[in-house]
Amino acid sequence: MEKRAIFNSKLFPYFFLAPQLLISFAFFFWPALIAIWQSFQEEDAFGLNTEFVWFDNYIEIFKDSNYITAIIVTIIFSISVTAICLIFSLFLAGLANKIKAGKIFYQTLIICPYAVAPAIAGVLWFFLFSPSIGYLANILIKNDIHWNPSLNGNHALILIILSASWKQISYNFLFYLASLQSIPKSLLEAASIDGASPLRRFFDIIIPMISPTTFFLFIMNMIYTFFDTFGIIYTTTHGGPGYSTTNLVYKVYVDGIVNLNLGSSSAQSVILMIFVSFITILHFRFVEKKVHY
Amino acid sequence: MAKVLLKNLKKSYQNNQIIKNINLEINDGEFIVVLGPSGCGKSTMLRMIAGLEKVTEGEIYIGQTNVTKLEPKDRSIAMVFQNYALYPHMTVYKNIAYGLKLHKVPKAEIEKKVEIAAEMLQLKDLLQRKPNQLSGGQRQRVAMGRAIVREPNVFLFDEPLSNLDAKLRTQMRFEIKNIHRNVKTTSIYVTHDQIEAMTLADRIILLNKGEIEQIGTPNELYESPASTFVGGFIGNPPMNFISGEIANKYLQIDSLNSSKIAGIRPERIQITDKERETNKNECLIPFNIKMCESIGHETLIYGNIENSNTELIVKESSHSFVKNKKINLQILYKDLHLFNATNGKRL
Repeated sequence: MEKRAIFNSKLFPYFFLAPQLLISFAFFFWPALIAIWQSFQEEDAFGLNTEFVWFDNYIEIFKDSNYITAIIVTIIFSISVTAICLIFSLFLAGLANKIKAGKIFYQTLIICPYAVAPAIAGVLWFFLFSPSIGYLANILIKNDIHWNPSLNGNHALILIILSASWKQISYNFLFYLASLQSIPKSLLEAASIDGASPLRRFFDIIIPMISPTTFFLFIMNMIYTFFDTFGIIYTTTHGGPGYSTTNLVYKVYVDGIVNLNLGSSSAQSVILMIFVSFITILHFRFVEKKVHY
Repeated sequence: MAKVLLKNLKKSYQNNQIIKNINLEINDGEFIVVLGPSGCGKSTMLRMIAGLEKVTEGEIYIGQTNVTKLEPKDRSIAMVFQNYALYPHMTVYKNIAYGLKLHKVPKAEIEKKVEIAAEMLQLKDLLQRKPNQLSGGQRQRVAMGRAIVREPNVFLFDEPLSNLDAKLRTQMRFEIKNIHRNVKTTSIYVTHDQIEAMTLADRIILLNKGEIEQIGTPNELYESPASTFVGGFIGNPPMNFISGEIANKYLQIDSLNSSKIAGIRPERIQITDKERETNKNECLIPFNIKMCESIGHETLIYGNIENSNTELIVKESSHSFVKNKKINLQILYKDLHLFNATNGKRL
């Protein structure tokens, strides 16, 4: 049943690969190479001369206390968003898997946030939690919580964690719902005959059965919080107050575009690049080895 | 060990009645096979006994307990599923031990029980494997093991062999029979395969459209079917039916008329070549052969009664028949079954 077409010309395969290669080269490899090259250089403020400085930029970075803060912010932010997304979306998917009437309506509503652009999601939550006009902020203030994300760093962090999670829950929900639906019903029936309570069934059967999905979502959420949350931070807190909501990717932007320290900014993005490659390799290795359920 | 009692059991989805008023008493240690065509409600009935399906009306007793509203885990049952329903992330050992673990059986005892079950089912070398490393027959055995170690009052089987190939099915059939002989637990076994039913059952319950058509030993169902449905369902090829008028004409039974149907098993019809005098125990029917099928040890002969469109199937052990040949069929009166033509019930 070989359906592969065989071409005699040796050039033909390259012809078919060309569009993909061109796009990858122009939009990924070329900028990445420039970033790496730039990360070894130091440029004066006016861009008049550049100097090759080896690893000075990298050494600088790790001496910068703001960078360490950014790492901590990133870790808190990623772990919180990932945890909220995983737990909350599994809960929602569990409910959606149970109901019979209005299923499609309910599912569509939950998926909606995914269609909202990150910047718009940020603005939305900014308004909801704005101390002067925000509906949710008003509720908090009425209950004697002095909510003010523009002054209180922790409040600001909570705000971006909430908005980033809200947007990503839809994505997690979709995968969890599909995963839950693929668990054979008879497995749960067998477990209930074996004497497992609903809670036991959840921990003994459902959690292990959806663990490949959980791992996949964990990786995807990590990548999301590391790289795709710029829009939310930019529109909600601008990385402030102080550096309290500046995560690594936002710092790349601030140092490069605002402070025009291109060398340091490039070095930071190279570090991020190494991190994402590591995560991707981890992901692929796991997917390849995945147990066949 | 327990009796199972079904009282006025009913089940309906919306306005659709799946199970219509089933009354049944299953004795302690009995092996009951529930047989019926697909969609007759046999699986639904089993799932109601298991507690996986809500009872619309009626009561279920296991032993002395009314279990109608109890959770599956409180009914002291074990079930073997058609697709085995093994926990894919657990080893064979853990699959078998899971139920015991949930019932807080001490670890040493679990080990002992699993070992005994594994011995009985030839699973000893496979205990550390995951279900996806097992063949169909082995998975089936693990599912059995999981049921056995629990030592429940009732075993429930939901078409456990239908995913296996023909050879394995025969083998597993034997093993199930053996296990039942050893543990003597009351068993309810659902299948659509009449060979399984005939070989395994102490008593067969034949279901049709949510109602019990007949309860009896395999031989009773075969020898004296309670209705045309039973006659047509049990036996392969199924029983031949001859309308009363035709039967009256050829079988020379005066009492036969259009309100009755005569039935005869294909294997009870003899073929005689020659015209001969009949005695009072038998009759001869002129028959046109349309087609013969040889299945090795015997031949199936298809054809019709002369001057009628009543089709008959005859099972013969000899092969010396030619197509389109006119022959005579010899039928003994004692082999005839008579049914009411309107409701199909046995007379």
